[in-house]
Amino acid sequence: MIKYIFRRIIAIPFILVGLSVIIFSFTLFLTPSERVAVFINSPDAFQYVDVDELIEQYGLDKPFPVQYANWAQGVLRGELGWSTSLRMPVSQVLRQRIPATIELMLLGQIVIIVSTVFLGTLAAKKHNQWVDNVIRFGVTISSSVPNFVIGLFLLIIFYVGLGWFAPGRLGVSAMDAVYSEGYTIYTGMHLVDSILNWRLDVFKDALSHIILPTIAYAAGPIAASTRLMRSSMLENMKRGYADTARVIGLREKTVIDRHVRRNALIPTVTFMGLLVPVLLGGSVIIETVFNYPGMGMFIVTAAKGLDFAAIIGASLAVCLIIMIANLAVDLLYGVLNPRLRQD
Amino acid sequence: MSEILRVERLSKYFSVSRDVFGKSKHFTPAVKDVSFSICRGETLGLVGESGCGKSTLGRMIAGLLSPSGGSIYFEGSVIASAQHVVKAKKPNIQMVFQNPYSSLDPKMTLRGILEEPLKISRYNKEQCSRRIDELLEYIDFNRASLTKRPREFSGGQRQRIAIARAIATNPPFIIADEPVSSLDVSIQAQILNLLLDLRKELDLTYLFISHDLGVVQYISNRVIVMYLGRIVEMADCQTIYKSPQHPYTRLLIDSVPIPDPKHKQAFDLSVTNDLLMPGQLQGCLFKNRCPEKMPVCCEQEPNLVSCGERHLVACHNRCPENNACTIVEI
Amino acid sequence: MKIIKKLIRQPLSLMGLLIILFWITIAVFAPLIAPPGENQDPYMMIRHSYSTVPTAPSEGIPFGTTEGGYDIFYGIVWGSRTAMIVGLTVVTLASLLGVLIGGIGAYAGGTVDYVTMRVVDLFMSIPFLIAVIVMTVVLGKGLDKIILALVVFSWPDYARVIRSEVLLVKKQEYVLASRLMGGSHLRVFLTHTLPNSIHPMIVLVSVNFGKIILIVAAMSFIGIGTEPGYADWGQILNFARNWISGIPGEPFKYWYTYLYPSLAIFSFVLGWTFLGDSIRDIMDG
Repeated sequence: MIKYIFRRIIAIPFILVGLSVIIFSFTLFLTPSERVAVFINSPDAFQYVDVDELIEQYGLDKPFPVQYANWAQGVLRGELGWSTSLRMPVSQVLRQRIPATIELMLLGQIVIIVSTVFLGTLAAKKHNQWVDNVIRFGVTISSSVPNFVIGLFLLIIFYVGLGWFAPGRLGVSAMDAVYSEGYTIYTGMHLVDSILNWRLDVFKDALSHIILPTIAYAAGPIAASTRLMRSSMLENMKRGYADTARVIGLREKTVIDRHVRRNALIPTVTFMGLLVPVLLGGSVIIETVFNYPGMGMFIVTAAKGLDFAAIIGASLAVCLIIMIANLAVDLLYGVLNPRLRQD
Repeated sequence: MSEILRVERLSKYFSVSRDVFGKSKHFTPAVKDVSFSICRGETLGLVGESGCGKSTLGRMIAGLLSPSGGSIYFEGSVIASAQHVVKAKKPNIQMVFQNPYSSLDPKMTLRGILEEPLKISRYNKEQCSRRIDELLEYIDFNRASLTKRPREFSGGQRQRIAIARAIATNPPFIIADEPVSSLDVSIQAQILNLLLDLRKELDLTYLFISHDLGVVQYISNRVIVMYLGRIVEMADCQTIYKSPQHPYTRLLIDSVPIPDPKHKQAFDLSVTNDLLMPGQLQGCLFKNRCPEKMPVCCEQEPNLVSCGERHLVACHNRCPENNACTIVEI
Repeated sequence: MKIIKKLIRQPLSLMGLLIILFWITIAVFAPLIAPPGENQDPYMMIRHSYSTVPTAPSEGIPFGTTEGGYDIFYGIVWGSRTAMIVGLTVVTLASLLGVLIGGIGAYAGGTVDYVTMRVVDLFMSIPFLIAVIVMTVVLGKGLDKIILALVVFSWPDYARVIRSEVLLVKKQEYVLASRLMGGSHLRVFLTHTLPNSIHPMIVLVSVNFGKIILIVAAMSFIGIGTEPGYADWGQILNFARNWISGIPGEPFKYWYTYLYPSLAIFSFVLGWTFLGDSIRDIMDG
């Protein structure tokens, strides 16, 4: 297992280089003057200097490997270019937006895991009874509703109809509180920061804004992973070890909670790992629907404004997030599956 | 009798573990330094327990695996040598596999299965249909079954189809890899008799691989006994059953069940369950299971030496002073 | 044939088949159901006005119009054609590409397999939607570009599935036997390996058909998909986004702008999900 993790960590830089080459190669579709934005980091450079001079300066007429090397050096220093759509350096946008998306993703993952384990276990325990059928039907339906339709209807019901929750990330007063003196931003995730600053009003406001996107975000994945959890629970309940546990005299509840569920979780965890890219993709839509200023909305804004520096920087950030998440899932996998720990 | 196939110092190694960078770290020999030859019209039985390398040997001769060392000659010309398999111009060597359920393509009809080798060998339509009729006659099928698919046949029927497919293009040499071990005993005899009939009629040469000495005795002229990738004994069929020399051969013969309650096993099986660990490759490989172990067995690997007419054995006990015997080079 | 019989017997799959059949009919007879105007590109939605406000259903305009006066009924009818065309093209091309790359990689084994699988891993670690967005931004707007981007990023799924099948099948003895007869690799691959490893693809294709439509709709919904006015369900829904809050006192005034296109997308995807799930159940059991 240690060898395996070690091999995965060694692979990360290689994958990053591979991905960044792919991502940067997209700029080949652009003209050198469009490409300039990927290289510069402040508006001054744009205003007072001739574009041709910039092209020369950054070697944009040189062969691809030279350009890539120049760009990669900048990236390593944290320079990701100038976002024309948001009028900020891309790295600064990312610093604000990444925590927002991760906050949404983490909350989404928690909701997904908890409801998957709960619903999957319930459906398997009540196999072929009405509870099971209801869950199965709900799962099929909700995996067919696109998340933006779910999002729209959540907004229509809870914002337009009931007026409970609003789109956006924070209300006006909470926003003031966050940017006031004496409020320290630790992680950029409002739910965490507000607790650390002990501002429960901010916490409540942030929660009320993040609830709807989380539901819209999680509905599809919950459906898919519940289906998986249910079938893998059913399969494990039939295995010999479960019968052995029953024969020893353990109660059915203990058999399921302690033995079956643990084994059934293994494929589910694999699935959760595969889910990270799906969730990040989903954030593009959910954040747009709910006007939630995270990476996804940034990508959409950038795409609409043909803001290439932003697109490339954001793609790079997305890939990095996914790789870190995959590593975390691998570790979790080792904890759950002792067979992997030996080796 | 003329020689049809000759195997010289054939070896095959498989890697068992890899290091961090994916390079092979340990190798295990599946077949090591095996030499023998087969004459035309002969049936050579290859016996040994599962994992002794007999299937690997068969697949190397068929050209499905490339040897790690040594060479194979067919009718005098090299067909495989270290890391290299010569592409055959004609399908001279065909195989009948152990499992008739996976050796026939489930998506094909009987006609498709029998036609395939003929089409590959460029038979025209008329030749094809004539040959298929002949094949059906050999295996005693009627034309009506031509449209059926493998799942509609029984295990014995499937194995007959596999045999018909193997002989379709008149190859002189057939490797039968455990052709009856997955069949009922009653069906086994049918298949063995079919193989015997075909041998007589078509002048075939067989390499017959099996773990079952009883079956091998029934069909073979000569027998090779393998243990952990090495030949431990080789002799004519009658010789090996009458006077087996290697303790492993005696163990095998003794483990053929005899349906007589009064029959006592002559061989002491009590010391035979200790298997060899990967680190103990020094000396005779059979030492841990051998009831007649001597000190020399742990130090030196016995050579294959002659101990009678057309009879070779690799055991220190049969030839205590190694240099006194003639080491046979094939 | 047996599969179709079984599919008809199950209520869920029958429903799925009926929904799909319904949309196929709509797509095929679109010119009769919603005749386009003369000298008009039929795939561009009919515009009744340049009004900035949606107009309610009325005679001749059964589902009302979106902002900009686009006919919702016309958009939904012709949008079914868009969905069918995109789905069919993407699924066909991507599965062909995936089967070829994954199948050949697995059949060849060794380094070829290793390299193809690393490429597949790389593609699968990029979020599909984001990748497609980035690619369409670079390539420009339009259905053909979306199709291209979808194909480029959806083949690895098929490659992965076919690979694991081929790895199993190529060890089967009938494959070895065919090689022994002197059959070429190409022949063995085409006559034995592929036919025996292809059937999990059927499940994947039917599930992915719905997914592809979801992605296209999602792209148009966020405004990065087809050009404005193109008959495409996601686009109609995009027009509806500004009107979900209605007007004060009448929160659901513009219900028709979002209800009809949502239903269209939902039912279409539901049909394919039902079908895919049922096929999977039949094949597993």
